[in-house]
Amino acid sequence: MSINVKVRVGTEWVNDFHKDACQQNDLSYCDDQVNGFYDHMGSHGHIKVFDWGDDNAWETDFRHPDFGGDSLNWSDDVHICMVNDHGGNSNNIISFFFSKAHTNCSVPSTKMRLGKKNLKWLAALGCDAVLNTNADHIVAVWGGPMQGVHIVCGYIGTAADAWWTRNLGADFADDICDGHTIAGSWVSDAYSFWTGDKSIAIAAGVSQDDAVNRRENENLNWRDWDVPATNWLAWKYRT
Amino acid sequence: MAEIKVTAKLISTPKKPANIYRLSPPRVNERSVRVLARQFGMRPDAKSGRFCSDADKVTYAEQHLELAASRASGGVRLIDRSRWQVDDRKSDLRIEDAAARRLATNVIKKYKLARTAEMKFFKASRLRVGVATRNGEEASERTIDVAIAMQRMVDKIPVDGPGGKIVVYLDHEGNLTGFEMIWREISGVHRRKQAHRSPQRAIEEMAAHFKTKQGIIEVQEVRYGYFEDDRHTDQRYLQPAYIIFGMLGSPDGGSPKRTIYVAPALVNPVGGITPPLKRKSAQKPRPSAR
Repeated sequence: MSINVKVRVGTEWVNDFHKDACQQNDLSYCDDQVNGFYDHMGSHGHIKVFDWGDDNAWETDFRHPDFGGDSLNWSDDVHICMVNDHGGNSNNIISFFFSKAHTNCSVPSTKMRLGKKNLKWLAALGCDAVLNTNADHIVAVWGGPMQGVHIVCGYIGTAADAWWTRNLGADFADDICDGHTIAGSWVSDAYSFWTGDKSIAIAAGVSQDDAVNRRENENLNWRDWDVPATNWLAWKYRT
Repeated sequence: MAEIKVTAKLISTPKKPANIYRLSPPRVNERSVRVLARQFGMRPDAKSGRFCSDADKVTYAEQHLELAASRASGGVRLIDRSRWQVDDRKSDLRIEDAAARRLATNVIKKYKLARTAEMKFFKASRLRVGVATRNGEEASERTIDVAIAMQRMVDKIPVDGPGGKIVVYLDHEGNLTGFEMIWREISGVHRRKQAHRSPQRAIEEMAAHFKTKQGIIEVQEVRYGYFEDDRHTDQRYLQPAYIIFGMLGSPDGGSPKRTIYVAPALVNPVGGITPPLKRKSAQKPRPSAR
């Protein structure tokens, strides 16, 4: 199936963390995954809007203005956003961690309003998009932050930071630009028999049928088919 | 500098010398894909099919079937786009690993993908779908496919890494929906009966690799096997390796992430395996406001 729309693309990644309150163990390959995605989306004709790395990646880019953030000018001003850094999940709240405080070292999902403006698809490549696959946990983590975004992609538990998964972003971009479904491509590309990465994609819908339909069929051509209310979530994972 | 902590019980150094093999450069073009398509029951001479070629791969599509071959590795993927990983909204697959493995083996035999004596069962993975209201009500889950990974064996040594596997996908009725295969052809012995170095030396190599990074790497598992790379890589030699699985942590207990480092296992290997970390180019400071 051919893709008939152009989408705006934004990416953020963090490899090296400051040795201060923001200290985390350094990572090495977040840029490879994300830049592969960014460049391949661009080579398929989509619009490269921003690619912020290390100290240029800020938590305010994901924090909604209701909480003092600037998400509507960044993560929520593109159609598809990929972020790759440390992720952590506690009490059904996922946080993304950044290299230095701007304004904070991390942003929790309680301060995200994903899809309030333009964001349709989010790929969070850090750990712990969910900790397990219990329905109660999945909806508790993502039912609140998904406020217009169509599909969120991530990992169950920890993810690998390794040379051997460096092509993930490029592969995902190629697949979705080739007309494959967003959720199916993610689950297929990000799962690894070898590294142990377990992938999950979560679709929002106004009804059960809507959420399931998006999970099974949505591709980039669905850009303008809005989710007016996140009443249902439908997910797909390989484990 | 990253601190290395070994919490795994290290495997002992293999005593039996091992060979390094040369791999045949893959020849992936329209003609070779046409041959593969026939092998898999497609009709590449019919007008209904179409070839598509780019720098990475050659693809042949016929109705719902899509066959792709990677230029760098010769890796192959055949999927039925109408059924591969697709939910029919009702099925719930219940199949034991042993039964799934038998079905996968039959597929491998039918299409002559590899000799079954040269492989062993690696893992079965299930694709699950679920749905619930935003409040967690009316939740349900089902299994819609099973993927069976068979691992290559060379000289009775497992082939580890992203390659060296055939993955067979079966739907809720046990029917084939697709398979993936990265299985480079061996052309001959490059170095015969080479001695091994110790796993500890491989861990020291990993420490040097991450010397510019801060944090702690906890080594949780070290495996031994021939290493076969992914479909994107032009790999010329198949050599034994230690595969080190680690967990990245920080002194104050920050968020973990896993890492994998692969080091040659022989005293006299053919080059390194994990490429050196690339030097990062400095970024321009970001403007404070858009």
